[in-house]
Amino acid sequence: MAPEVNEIKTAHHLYAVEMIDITKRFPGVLANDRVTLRVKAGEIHAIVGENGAGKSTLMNQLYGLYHPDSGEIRIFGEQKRFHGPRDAIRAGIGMVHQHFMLVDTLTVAENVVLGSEPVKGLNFDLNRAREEVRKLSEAYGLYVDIDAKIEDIPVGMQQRVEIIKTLYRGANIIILDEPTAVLTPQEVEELFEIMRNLKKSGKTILFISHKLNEVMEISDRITVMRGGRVTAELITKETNEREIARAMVGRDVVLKLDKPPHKAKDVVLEVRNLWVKDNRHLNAVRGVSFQVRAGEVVGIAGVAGNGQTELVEAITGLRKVENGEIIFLGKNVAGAHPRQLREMGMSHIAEDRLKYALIKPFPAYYNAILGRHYKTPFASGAFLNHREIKRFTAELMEEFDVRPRIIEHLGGNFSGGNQQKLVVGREIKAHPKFMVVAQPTRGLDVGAIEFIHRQILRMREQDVAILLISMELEEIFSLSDRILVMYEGQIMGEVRPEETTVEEVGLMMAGKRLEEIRGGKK
Amino acid sequence: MKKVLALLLMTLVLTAGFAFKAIMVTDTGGLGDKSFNDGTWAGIQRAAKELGVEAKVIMSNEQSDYIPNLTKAAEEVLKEKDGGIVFAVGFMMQDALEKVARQYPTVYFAGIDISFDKELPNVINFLFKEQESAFLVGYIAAAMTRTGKVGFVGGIPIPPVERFRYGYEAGIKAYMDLKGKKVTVIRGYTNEFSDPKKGKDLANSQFSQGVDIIFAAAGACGNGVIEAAKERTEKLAGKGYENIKKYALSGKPVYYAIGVDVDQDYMAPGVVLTSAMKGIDTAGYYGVMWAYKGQFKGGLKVLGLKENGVRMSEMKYTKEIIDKLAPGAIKELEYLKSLIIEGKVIVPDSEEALKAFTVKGVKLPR
Amino acid sequence: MRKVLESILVPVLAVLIALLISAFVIVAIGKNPLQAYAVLVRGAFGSKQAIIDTLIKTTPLILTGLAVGFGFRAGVFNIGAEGQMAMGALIAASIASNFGNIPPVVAIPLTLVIGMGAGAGWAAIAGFLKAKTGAHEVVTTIMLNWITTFVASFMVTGPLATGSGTPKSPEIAASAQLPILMKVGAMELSAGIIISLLAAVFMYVFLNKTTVGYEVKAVGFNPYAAEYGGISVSKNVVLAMAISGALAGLAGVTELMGVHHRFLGELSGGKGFDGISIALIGQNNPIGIIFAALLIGALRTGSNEMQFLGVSKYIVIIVQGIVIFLVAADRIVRTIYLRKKVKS
Repeated sequence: MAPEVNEIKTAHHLYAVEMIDITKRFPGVLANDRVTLRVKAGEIHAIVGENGAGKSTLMNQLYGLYHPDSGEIRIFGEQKRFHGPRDAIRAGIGMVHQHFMLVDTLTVAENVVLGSEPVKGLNFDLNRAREEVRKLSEAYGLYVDIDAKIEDIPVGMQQRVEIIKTLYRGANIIILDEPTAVLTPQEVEELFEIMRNLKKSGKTILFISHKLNEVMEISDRITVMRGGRVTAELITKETNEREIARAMVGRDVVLKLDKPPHKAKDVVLEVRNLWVKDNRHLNAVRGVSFQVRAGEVVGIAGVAGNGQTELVEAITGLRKVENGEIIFLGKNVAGAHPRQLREMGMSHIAEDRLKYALIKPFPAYYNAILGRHYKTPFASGAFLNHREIKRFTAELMEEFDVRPRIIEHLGGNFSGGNQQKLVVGREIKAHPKFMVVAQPTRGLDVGAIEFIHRQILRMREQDVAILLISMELEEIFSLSDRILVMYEGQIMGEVRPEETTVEEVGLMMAGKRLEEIRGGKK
Repeated sequence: MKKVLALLLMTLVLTAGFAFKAIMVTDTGGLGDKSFNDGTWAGIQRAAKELGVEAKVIMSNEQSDYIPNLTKAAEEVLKEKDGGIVFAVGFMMQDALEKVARQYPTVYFAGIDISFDKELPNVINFLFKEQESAFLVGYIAAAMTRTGKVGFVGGIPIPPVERFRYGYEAGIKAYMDLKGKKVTVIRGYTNEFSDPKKGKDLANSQFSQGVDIIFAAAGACGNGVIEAAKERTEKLAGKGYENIKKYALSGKPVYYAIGVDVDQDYMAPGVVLTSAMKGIDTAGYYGVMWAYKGQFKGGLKVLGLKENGVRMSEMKYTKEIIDKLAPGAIKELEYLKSLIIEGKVIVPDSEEALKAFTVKGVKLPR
Repeated sequence: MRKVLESILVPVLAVLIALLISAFVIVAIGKNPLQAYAVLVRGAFGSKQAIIDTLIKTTPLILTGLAVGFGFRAGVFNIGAEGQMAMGALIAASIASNFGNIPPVVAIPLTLVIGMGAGAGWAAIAGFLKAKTGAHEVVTTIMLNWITTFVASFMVTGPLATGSGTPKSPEIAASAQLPILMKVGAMELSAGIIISLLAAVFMYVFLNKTTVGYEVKAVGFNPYAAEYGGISVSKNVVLAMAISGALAGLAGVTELMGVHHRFLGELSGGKGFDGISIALIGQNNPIGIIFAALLIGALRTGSNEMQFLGVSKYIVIIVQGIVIFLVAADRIVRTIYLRKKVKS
């Protein structure tokens, strides 16, 4: 560890990081086109841009994972050439990736010291490791349970472990790649508090995000990227979300959609006293009942892990129903196979698109027919009708703006936003009567979010019954006709967005029943 | 390409002193089985050396190699001015040998452990009275066992393996009849001939059932049986022949294996009690000799104790131990052997004959 | 296109490297590697007889390669092709010996179907256990292999035993034997080779053109997404195992009907396990598998000839081992290849 040396340098240089005229080319793609990034020492610098704008490529060069084709990198004024992350770490750079690099079966302390320099003797000194981790954790307000195994702690804490890891390796410059994508609102707040603490103690933070409200809240300055280039350098205090969004997308973006009034029609889905167990065989959904009508969006709000996932899986036939009824179009479908449900007109935009909604090694044209692959016109008899499948896929990709517009492109090779558009397009083009929409915009950029929101509202106008599950309160508020709040497998209350407040919903998410809240007020 | 081939052929021809070739095709056990493939090969090589002719071996990987390999060998022999002989080693090659030999009536063939329903004029087949040598080792095993339990590990239960077993069990029965000692036999088969590991596993399982002597008639699998016995004995007596001998002579119980086909006593001195030998090397030797000297006569040759086609090893390492722990046994063996050669005792070669077998009428000399 | 080229290049490169490494081994034992390889090639392709021998050996290897490769494509690791092959041949042998009165047009397809059915049923047990209890197919198929070994050994030394010599079943009816395409000496090339090629075509069409193939692949790639898309995972796991087993059973029954004409204890002789290597080298692609099987078949045939030079047959096993190692760890080859590309 050599933090002292770097701290002396901090005093002398205005910029902690300078990346000047960086160009990086991949086969067929110009990922970074003469990008210049200057990050002042001790600031929180946000880098925003849509998926594929070149943010990650730029950061990976800073972290030594790629070499720039041309351009130079300076750290505290000193020109550097990194041959790998090891060099970058030595120069005081730490990176917390979007996907954590932790060993599930080791403890927090063990993970922090794992593979770090300098190498200790043959005997691993666990007590010293624990002591060092404890010190770092206290110094920066990074609360972690030092002796807990990674697999047993929540995502927010895992992220803190990653941050401690960078600090343990002597990082002065910390790159956080989309750190909020996996966090609940509360955890996001905690993260921001930590970022402020780090800043206070002189650390420089690069914050990669495409959530504009977060960027506005936490950053000092903003670099906006689009198509591999820098399109704006902004001072947070002097700008607004609209300006950032325009620089990101290249056009004006409607951040809040107008939701035209629409009358709900007949009941399409009714859930009665539903009980569902999770993977550990504990009751995750405990006696939930509600209805969804044609032409309305029912939003289910709640902190992750309160039974929403199990509820969705039960409704869509992916999980066993322990007790209760699911009445779909007048028929109890509890325990029905997904194929039956799809046949009846149910569509499902799954929460975890890589796990459920998409088959990564399949080309787009196979992913586009999943669920209807055996039906005309995609199949004639036992054989696939490739011509029709490809025609349909091309049409879908055009209609839902999936890029690149190559039908042979493998599902796993699309960016997250385009994967989601492909899935949304497929599920909508099945012409459903009822659609379960779970976390439809998780990890997407503003442009894609707007697009998907529009599609959901369009379905509503076409009298499709929609059940929306989201961790994003903003999303729930702007799309739902009615909001149900789930807490520990039960519904805390039902409210209309225009008749409630974020605070009220927040209280329900924390476990207070609507009656208690409103009764208390009276 | 043609030129290269011609060159190759020339070098092949040049290395041969005479235009006569003896080619052996192994079964899937292959050379290095320390058993009948190696045994035959030793005999062929001895003859080839004496005659100054070339000897070659082709090893077969799988059953479907037998026909092509025998065909290849026959083609090679055809090319020689003075001809040659092709050996098919092992019972498993019977069908292949018959087919190929019919295709090449002018080529001499020899089959080891093989017989045809109808013998061919260009094939000399050697069979052995395995039961006779096995009888002798069975008698010794019964005399030497301390636990009253002896083991048999066979390869695939094909006739030659079974003949070993009949003889072995008959020898044990003879000892029981003559001495009134109760000895039971535990049998097992590896169902193949090439993997020593399987022999070892089976041996260890028998040893742990209380067996202290195992006769292995399982080709290369038997090497594993010997190894298992060696490991167990060494654990008790320490390494090295001297230690084992001293320990055994002191009267403490040890584990023994009995070898097969060739003299395997050397493989673990003091641990391999004796070996039930087949004169396969003799067959290999005479096959080459007869073919070379124009004395070849097709048909079946069955070799027993009388013809010196089967015998028991010299017991170079264990004689002393046997004399100490089972006094008189070796002398009794010599007597029984003479009875077999004279035809007064007929060692059973089938399950039925084994059941009926008895030596009640025999009186051992004092 | 580049992808296709690369997927051909990797195994070819692997073979070349393997030959190179083995050449050092040959030099080390004091022989001339070029001479050895020349003989190897001559032994595999140098005469009509050699070619027939190579093709005879290649036939079952194509089928077991397809069996395992199909399994891989469907997300199951069928390590039991060996047992399914033997089972297919054993059941077919015990039935087809009674087909004397049935004309070949019926007897041949019927015997093939019996063999495939036996292999399929045997493999489906493992598929069923996986679908219902989650028991891993690697474990269950290995256990089924052992059961087959002992059942087969019992049958040919017991109830089915016939004649003297090798433990074997009676010969199947002449009408159930595959027609001979070519005959040199005692070696007969049967129509089995054509059947194996047809099976490769079947696998290609099934996986790429049919809805069931789509479903099987979907389950193999991502069972969660498949279930989400209305595809029954358990049904498809059983189906995938059954088809894989049917191909292995076909390997056994063509070997029975085309080569041995009777069941022998060693009939499968490790070819089911060879299927794993062949599927790996052929990258689970039907065409790749055909060439991989031809490669292994030719190496084995040629190796017998090579022994005349005093070069052990084990050299070929070394070559095969290195090829598999390199292809299985094709990242090594790819990295070398990509590095070169970056440098140039």
